[in-house]
Amino acid sequence: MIRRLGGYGGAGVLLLLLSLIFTLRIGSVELPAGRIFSILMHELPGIGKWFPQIWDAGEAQIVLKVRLPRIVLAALVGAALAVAGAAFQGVLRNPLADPFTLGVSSGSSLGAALIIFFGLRTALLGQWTLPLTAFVTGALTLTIVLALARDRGKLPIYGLLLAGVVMQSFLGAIVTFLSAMSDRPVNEILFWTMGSLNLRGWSYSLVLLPYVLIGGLFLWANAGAMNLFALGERRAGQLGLNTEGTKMTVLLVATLVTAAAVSVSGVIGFVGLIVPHMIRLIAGPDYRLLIPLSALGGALFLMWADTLARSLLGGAEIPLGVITAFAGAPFFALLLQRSKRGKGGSGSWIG
Amino acid sequence: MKAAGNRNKEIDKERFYRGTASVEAAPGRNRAKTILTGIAALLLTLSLAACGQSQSVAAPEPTKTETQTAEQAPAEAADTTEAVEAASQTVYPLTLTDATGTEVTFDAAPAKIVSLAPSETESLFALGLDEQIVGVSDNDDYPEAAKSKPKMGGFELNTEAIVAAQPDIVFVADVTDDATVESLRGLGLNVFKFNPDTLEDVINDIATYGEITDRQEEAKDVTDKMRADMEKVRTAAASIDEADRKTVYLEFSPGWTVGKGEFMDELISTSGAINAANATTGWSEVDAEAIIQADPDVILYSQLSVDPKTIKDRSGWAAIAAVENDRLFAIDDNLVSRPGPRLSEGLIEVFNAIYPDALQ
Repeated sequence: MIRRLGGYGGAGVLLLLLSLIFTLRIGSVELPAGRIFSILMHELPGIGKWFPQIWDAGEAQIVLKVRLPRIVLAALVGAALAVAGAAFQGVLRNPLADPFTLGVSSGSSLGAALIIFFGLRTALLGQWTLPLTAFVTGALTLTIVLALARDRGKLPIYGLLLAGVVMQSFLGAIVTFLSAMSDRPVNEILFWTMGSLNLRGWSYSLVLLPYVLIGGLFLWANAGAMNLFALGERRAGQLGLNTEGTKMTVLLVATLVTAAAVSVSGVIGFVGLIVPHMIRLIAGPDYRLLIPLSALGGALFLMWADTLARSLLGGAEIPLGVITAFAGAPFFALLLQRSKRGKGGSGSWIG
Repeated sequence: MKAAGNRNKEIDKERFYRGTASVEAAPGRNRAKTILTGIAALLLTLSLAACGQSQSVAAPEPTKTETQTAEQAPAEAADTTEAVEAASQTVYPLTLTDATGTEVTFDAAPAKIVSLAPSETESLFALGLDEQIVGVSDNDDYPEAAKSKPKMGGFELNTEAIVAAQPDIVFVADVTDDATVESLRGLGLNVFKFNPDTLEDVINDIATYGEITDRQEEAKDVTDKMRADMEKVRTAAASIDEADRKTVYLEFSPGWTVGKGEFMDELISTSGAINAANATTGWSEVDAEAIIQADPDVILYSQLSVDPKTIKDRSGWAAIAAVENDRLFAIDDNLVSRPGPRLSEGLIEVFNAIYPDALQ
């Protein structure tokens, strides 16, 4: 297991670094690779002095304070959503579970929209107001979705999807209502429903980092339990697992990680769905591998998705959620088709 | 087709409300049924009447050919200015082509006017038409008297209120799309749309308002003042050295800027400055890289919705000249975004922010 993790993980990290180098070069302002390299090296303590400043201040700002933080933030958001998706799928034993389809993202965006609408962005808890509100509304939504979907103690795939869709449209309507009520020429709230990483500096990454690190490690620590869940909840219980307790804590932590990501980026769908399934196809169903590799995969996926979002139309932005939906929705349809034929992504799913 | 669809929707809505009301009034089921049937018949006649009416107003066949000729002709602007200079008294019936390419005929100066955009309301008030205005949009807040006028809806129009106001003319602007204009015409309303693209268009449109409402003298006072403002700024802008021309960044909604094709961009270029976002068109999300590279000298932001701190604190923006030298100025949104009589005041405000003390 450890050797395989090392192999896949090493490859993933390498890809991540390569992607970082490539995506750093892409932007609306043309910058030669050599200069970007020098700008980065100049910042490093010790060897910085070997790279004298031959660029103007604006170029350094573009690389260090616009491009780099945005790429790093994309990686963090992607990792957060993918890990949360893998965890949801693990404890719910449902191949189509993901923060978006379960309505958690919409729930979080409602919280964010309320905060924006009433101008409370930094009220009470400072910069933590938005993520925490997003968390509370996200967690409430998940509770409602699970309650709606539960059928004699089971969570059938279709029931869960329907409950998720119902909550999504309902919450979406509220968010749309709020954005209709705000009379500005451009709608800030609308941004939450489409997702974007534009104009995000390092502070956003700093807010998100602890959630991703601690949440991700916690979920990884529960990977063994998720493997047992795959055998069915009763078997898992017979094997000595506190199924209800584990399920609740994992769901809670995954929701928290999702909400933190949504609070900085808005709703970005399908990441938590596509990435874990891709990883399953590559590395198999073992959650001890799946959780960390999903984090890497999610980071890679969103890094590239965001690069497309900011570069496909030249200077104009495409909402990030649009890009991930273009990639994700067909994939979702494929999975739904497969689960209909009774062969889920892996392991034994309960339908 | 679309107009007909909307009309049906209206009727459905009406039927729904009347239906519930009558059920409440009538305890017996049969009675309710007879009443409903009666109402249905009534509605049928009403809708037939409405159809007939709409045909007489927006007669579909003849306008088609006229629309084509109207599109070929440059715009409403050219002939109206001539008219203003020629006569200060409007001769009715007056036929003008509006921005949708439809010919609208006025048999007399309209006695009841509904205005569905802030800019139009401002123009009409500037011509002293306070008494004639019987309805404004929810967003109309200038002058003070506009606030107490009956409201006809915002982005979603309150069609029933508009019809009930029985206006002789409904003035609409760019925000009211052509399909909505058509559906209003389908309800038998006389609708005239303005859609100015430039400062010059705005001035010409005000002259047109004067012509339609027989207020040409008043209109001339307004347009003369606007032209004088514009000329003052143009002269001052021409005296600025090429090397001293400033680059300006606009933020009139958090995280969004304004490029070509908007009035704000024209105000910048008329002031002899360069819009930092002139590679873009219309409203677009801020491309931080491009703005940092353009290195604007001055930042103008919306007084209503933008907190300058968010611009200054933005990652990587500290190196921008305007931020370094703290040259950020709040601009009254309504002055620079409404194509009305105060647009030239907006121009002066913008010019003064960019080049302080350059105006005499």
